[in-house]
Amino acid sequence: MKKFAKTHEWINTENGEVGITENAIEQLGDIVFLELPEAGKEVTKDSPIAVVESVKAASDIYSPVSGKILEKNEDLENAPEELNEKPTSWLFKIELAQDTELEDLLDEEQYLQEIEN
Amino acid sequence: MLENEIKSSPIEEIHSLNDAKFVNFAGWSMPIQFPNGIINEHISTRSSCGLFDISHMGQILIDGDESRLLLEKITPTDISKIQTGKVRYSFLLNNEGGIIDDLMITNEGDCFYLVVNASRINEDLEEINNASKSFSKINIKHLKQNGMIALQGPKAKDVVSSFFREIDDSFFFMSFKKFTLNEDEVRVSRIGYTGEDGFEISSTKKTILELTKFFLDDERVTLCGLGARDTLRLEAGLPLYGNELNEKMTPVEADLAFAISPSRIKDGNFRGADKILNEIENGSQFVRVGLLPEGRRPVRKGTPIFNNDEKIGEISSGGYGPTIKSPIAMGIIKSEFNKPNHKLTAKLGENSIPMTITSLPFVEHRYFKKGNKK
Repeated sequence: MKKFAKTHEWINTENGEVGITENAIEQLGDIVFLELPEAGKEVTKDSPIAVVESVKAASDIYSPVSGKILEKNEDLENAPEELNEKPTSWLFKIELAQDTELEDLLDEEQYLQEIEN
Repeated sequence: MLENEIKSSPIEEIHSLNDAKFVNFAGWSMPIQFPNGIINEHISTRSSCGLFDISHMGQILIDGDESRLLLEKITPTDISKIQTGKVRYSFLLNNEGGIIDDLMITNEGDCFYLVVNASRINEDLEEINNASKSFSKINIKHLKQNGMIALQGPKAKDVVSSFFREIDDSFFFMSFKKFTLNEDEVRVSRIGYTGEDGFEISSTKKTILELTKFFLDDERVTLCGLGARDTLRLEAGLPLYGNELNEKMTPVEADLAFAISPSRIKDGNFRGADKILNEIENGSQFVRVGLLPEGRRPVRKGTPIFNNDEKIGEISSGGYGPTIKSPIAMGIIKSEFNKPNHKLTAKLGENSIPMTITSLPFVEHRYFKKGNKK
């Protein structure tokens, strides 16, 4: 199951994969740069841990939960334009510190409602 | 119309039909991009032909016996040297030699036609009106209702001449011609803001709409937004008012001294001449340069530029160059550091991005000039 942050990240609750939403990618347009966190890095919920830049603008990516980075998607970091082609790609995997943080996140329906407003 | 109301383009319906993303630019609702994206629009322009709505640009007609004198008062251009049917790039200067706006001046024979920045139209009109008080019989008309499109790219000439048959290879870069269509005046100039060969066409809402539909039916033409217009002009090393140009900067600092007429330099009789002539002679304190950031990360406007630990300037425009497939930027830096291939650093938070000073443009201009091969 995917859970969503208001800042447009999602996390797969089964395997800890984190990405940004298709809506966010659509808004960013052509993506030209990604900077992803290194494996082993400890992160806290809602802190900026990655950067995505499109032709138009730069944007921070926030960690939807606290935990430790297990892996980053290096292939994507080396070819960031592929995120436009495969907008459901994961960016990094995270090991959750506390499962309870997932409860603060939105489900898909709530997220879609959030971006409607 | 209220002054603070958001203005919409006369061809907005075309943008909506093509699923544009709109952005507020200088009080105008304009398309920033269409669904295929900025990079696609950019590459289509460089390889074939892009069509841009530039109806937000300010258009001003000045006529009257003393209009040449008026224009020579407020610009450093020898207006008498602009032949009928020719366009010249120039600046409105303030008394300190700072750039109020950069603009195109066309000699139409019976009047002068000015195209100015959307973001500066109010300041321009105020300056022109004030300066006109010391001259007699001058009429200033803001063509508020006109729409304007640009067709840019290596196929632009074939596309435009499929409608305007008189546009041929004797119509060089910086040429102008007036046509009549539907009893409306149509102004066609061979100019642009992409570095490519191309045209800007202005007329009434009805006629511009008709022309836009005609050109978009041509499969060589891609409808483009302001996003691609910006990446194209950045690759072409062209300045943007508000980024590279402002009222505190002189044409020398902007590295645009080529646009000051030699006869005006000789006579030294233009606004800010003391300062500007001194800068031409001895160099200016600051100067606009091209910068190639290392790696893939774009640097953006406002990012501080360092030489070792000393802050020496700021990025004025920065982004990604789709043709050269790497980040590109322009910056305003202290002139003493302007040496070819000199390494500087952009400071982005904790990150330092090395950059190399490089000559502009990033992508060679392909204007259709006399002596060019067809």
